[in-house]
Amino acid sequence: MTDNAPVRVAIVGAGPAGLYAAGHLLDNRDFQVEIDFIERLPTPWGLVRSGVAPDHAEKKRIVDRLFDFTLRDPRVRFFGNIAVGEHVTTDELAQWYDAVIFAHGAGSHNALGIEGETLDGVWGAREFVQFYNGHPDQAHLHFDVSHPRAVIVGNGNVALDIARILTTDVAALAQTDIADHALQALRNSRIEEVVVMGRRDLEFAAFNNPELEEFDREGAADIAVRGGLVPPRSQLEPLAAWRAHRRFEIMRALTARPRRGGGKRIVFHFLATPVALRGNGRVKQVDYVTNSALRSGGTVSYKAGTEVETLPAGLVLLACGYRGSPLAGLPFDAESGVVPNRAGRVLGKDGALSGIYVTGWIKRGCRGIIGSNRWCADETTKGLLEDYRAGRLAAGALQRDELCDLLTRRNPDVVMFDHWRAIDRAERLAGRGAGRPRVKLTRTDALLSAAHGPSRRIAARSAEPTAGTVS
Amino acid sequence: MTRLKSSFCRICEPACPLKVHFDDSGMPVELSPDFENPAKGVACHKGLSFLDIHNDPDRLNWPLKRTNPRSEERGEFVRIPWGQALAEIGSRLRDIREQHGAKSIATYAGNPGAFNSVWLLFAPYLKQALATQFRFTSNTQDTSNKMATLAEVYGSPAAFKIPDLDNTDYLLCIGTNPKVSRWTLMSAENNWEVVKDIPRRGGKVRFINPRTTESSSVDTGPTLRIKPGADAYFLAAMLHEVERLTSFKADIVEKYGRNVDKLRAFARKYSPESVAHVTGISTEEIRAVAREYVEAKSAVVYMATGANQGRQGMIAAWLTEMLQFVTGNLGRRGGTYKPNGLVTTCAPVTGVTKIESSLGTLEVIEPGMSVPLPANLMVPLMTSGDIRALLVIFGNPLLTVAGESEARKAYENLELIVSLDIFQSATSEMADYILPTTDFLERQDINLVGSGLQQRPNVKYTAAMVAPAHDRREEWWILSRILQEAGLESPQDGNPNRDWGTEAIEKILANQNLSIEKLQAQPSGTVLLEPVPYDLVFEKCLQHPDKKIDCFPAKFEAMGLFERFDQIYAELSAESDDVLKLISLRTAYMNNSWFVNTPRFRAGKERDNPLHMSSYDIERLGLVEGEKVTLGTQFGSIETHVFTDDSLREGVVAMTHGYGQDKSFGMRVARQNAGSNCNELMPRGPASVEPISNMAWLTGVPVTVAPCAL
Repeated sequence: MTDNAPVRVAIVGAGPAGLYAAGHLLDNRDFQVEIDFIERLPTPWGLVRSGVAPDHAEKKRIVDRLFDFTLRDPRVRFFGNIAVGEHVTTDELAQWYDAVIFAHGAGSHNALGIEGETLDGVWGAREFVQFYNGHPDQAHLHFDVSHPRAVIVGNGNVALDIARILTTDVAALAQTDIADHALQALRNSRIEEVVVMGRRDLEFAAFNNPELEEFDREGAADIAVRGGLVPPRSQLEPLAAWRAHRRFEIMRALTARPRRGGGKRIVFHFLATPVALRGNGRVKQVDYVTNSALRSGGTVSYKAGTEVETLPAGLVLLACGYRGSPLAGLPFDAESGVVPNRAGRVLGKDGALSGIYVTGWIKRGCRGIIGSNRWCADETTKGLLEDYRAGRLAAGALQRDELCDLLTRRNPDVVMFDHWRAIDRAERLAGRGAGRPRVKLTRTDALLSAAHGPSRRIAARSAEPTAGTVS
Repeated sequence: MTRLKSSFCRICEPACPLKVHFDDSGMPVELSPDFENPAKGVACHKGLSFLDIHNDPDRLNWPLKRTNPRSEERGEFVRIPWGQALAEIGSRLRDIREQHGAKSIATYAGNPGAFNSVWLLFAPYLKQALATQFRFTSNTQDTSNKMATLAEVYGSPAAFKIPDLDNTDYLLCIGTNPKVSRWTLMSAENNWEVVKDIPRRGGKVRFINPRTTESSSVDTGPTLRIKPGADAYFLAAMLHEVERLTSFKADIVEKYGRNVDKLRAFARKYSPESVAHVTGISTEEIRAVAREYVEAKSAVVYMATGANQGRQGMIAAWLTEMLQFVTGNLGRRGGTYKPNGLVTTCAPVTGVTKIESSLGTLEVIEPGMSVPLPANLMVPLMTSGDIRALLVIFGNPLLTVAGESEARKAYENLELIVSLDIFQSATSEMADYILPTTDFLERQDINLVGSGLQQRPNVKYTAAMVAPAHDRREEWWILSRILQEAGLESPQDGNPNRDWGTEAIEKILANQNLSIEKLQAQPSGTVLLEPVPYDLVFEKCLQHPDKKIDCFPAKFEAMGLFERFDQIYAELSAESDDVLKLISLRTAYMNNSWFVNTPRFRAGKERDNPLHMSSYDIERLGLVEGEKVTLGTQFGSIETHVFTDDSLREGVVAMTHGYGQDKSFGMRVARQNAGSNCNELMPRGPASVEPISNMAWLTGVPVTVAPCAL
């Protein structure tokens, strides 16, 4: 390791993508590094906090712990409640630091492009997931759960999460860290059936097998299949991939289970594509067509039928994938929803921008599981360190202490690591009496109160300089 | 084309067979298990990752000399040629000897030396040539209680026996996590199935531990979660029950026992009822275990590091030996026995050396190197001026012995520190000279340390797989040359090209009529030794002149071990339930501090060594997971953070040692993921040491845990 000044890196977004990138940078032994996380929310962990389903406590705990070890490293600082575009600009970050890694993920979802998507009662899955996970942006939303049927369009893992949350016994959810407002909403739910509608058939459906297998647990909803058949064992192609075999086996077991009665049910509706959402101001039904699968060789394609059928529903959740959204000052490819880049180096009009990188969903599109970010970040950080070694990074204009002072001036309500610890502590202690891992604080005010203590907040409220003014 | 050569791992006792894969240029590129080796055992991730250590860019390659004062935390080192390093060290040692006497030069040998047969064979030579009595090793941190006990009970500190895992009907493990630690003072093939086979054939496995370890599962057996530091009382109550149930009627007791009546009298004192409170194990549970043990057709009690370090390791080791003996489980199939090995005799105790020091008269058992002076006294002996120079042979005593901060001050004032190591450890950082040694791929070796302790007795030989890189040299050569330069007797005298290492290996192999050549002609360089009868233990191990087993050694009484036993009993009985006890936690990713600089073992939650606590204690103290806390004892305090671990008994917290690497400037990965050094908290000074064995007290230490102010 050189004894030269450390490479100073800002990482925008303290979710899995950014945290894996930090991990790789910390693990390099050629250069000293100093990392500042710039996070819009007062809390770190990104989708681990606001995406992973509340009933996946063990998964959350493992990942939480992993990232906790990164964030507590003395070379890392956390600046939460600092929004790019509001408190700082991308240009400023580029100027202040030797390098900036943008890892802000996906701020939007893929639209279907059909009639009725803007009706009341139609939501992006992202909004609903963030709602039940207590994301401050969605804490105020109201989902209409008074109709007996909800339709989820798309059948990836997110769709399965939502189907599970909508059908799980509320008493069981009350033992998790699900947001209290979501618990309240689900208590009043009259939903009896959740339809998971997907274009493809069971063999090629987007979810992973372990997620499907999870429905094989006590108290899980009844499972039915509509549209694509589950072939009897004897009809299985002997050469079908083991993965396909396994999912047929799982689905066969799930559908053959005796009905539990009185409970809710989930209907997997394969080979169906919505063509319109209808209702008078508020969604009342999903119009869809049935697809046929055309197999040739190893590939399969789907042909939409012409006969339109109708399914009444009061809640429609669009789970056809997340999508990146543009960030002011950063190139954006609206077509693919990512920041144009080569192996993580952000591309401007005239090639790679010096010292600007991306990792995670905003780099590669919204694919993969949490762990996929590890490899993604490895590529990005290798490029960054290579650029540093080659002298391609312009030195940042501000020193470590100056940055801290400046960010604190830009937002006196900045949440640093110890403040986050205070939030974490408050949430966990609140959960203790109720036998829950934590009770999430879901409103920014409450989070900041826990972070700083109520008195400190009021005192700090005076100066609020805006982005672009170097104070 | 990949070429393959057979070798074996030298990280811990099993000496697992390895295949070394070479590329065309002759560089080792991969290690894999050697399934063809007749001695069996499948190398684990540690051994298979050893190329990470071999190729570590932070390895020491040249002799280094410090150019700035030791009071500066970070050493400035310059590379010097061997000739200069040896000459300078030699002349400084000579001066120190002349001025302060031979005794003023202390040696400390660390744990890796146990897995380096040439060093093991050279150590007695160094002891003699250097003529220093201030010899220290890591033994007084982990095992010397066992050697000291064997010396008293059997008349030889080397009278080790091993459990017959293949045939036993009952295995009671105390203070040990063999699935992770791979057994200690025994060399079993790395194959956990051997333990799972015990219940499969109708036997039972039980664990006594303050935490439910990785070893304890539905496939093996349950854990009785004992209070830390109470193993000796549990064992005493076991003996009580065994006496009640059997009256020590085994034939061998009559035949080989000495002082059996005194043992009986001791046993009668400690009923299960009387120890239920201090052990935290109910009377019924203790009775049930004792009954199972007595009723099993054959049975083994195996106690190890956790009990060794709990300040009454000798009592625990003695009671373990006694339980085996009085139930007739010594020297029989399914019990404990003495397997065949390269060293065919257990050297008898020849006496005691008395060492005068400013701390009074210190004693060590002769012969052998197994019960050295207490490492806990190194610092006081340095401070008092008894010790002026320190020679460290692959050890890191600054971090592994109790009290780092105090040690730093004492080390600073030494006249000379020389460290032989493969890495620039925290201790090396303080040295005047750091001398680069070889790793196990760079030297020839045999599996000496496990010999006589093996489940499947075998002798393995490996040639050096690669020549030592750069200026790395074997320890025996370095030390022989230092002796010469210091004007002391050296194997190199008159013959600078003498290959002492090979001679030493050949000499010990000759015990079994073997030679390097014969071994090299065998598949995987390995010969299986003939099994010996179980009852050979009585011939080999009984080394008192009367060939008896001393069931109640007079020295125990004379040195106050029994009095201490009662005092600690009173102390534990009076202790409040709120007291937290810190135990030592073994993880599969660290072996003392071997892998502290290996990136793949230092990722994720292995980045540092948090304080493990049960949810119960976390909630009781109003803490939360991840919270920064100060961990304190009367001896020191460190900062760490809380990690929930419900494998722990309530009231027990655990940490892994080998961390606190923030000043190991030459080990970049370790330093970046420093963790904190729990040995800073450990008791030190003369009172911290167990009489006779010189063992340090390193587990079951009362601690306080308090949140750090935000």
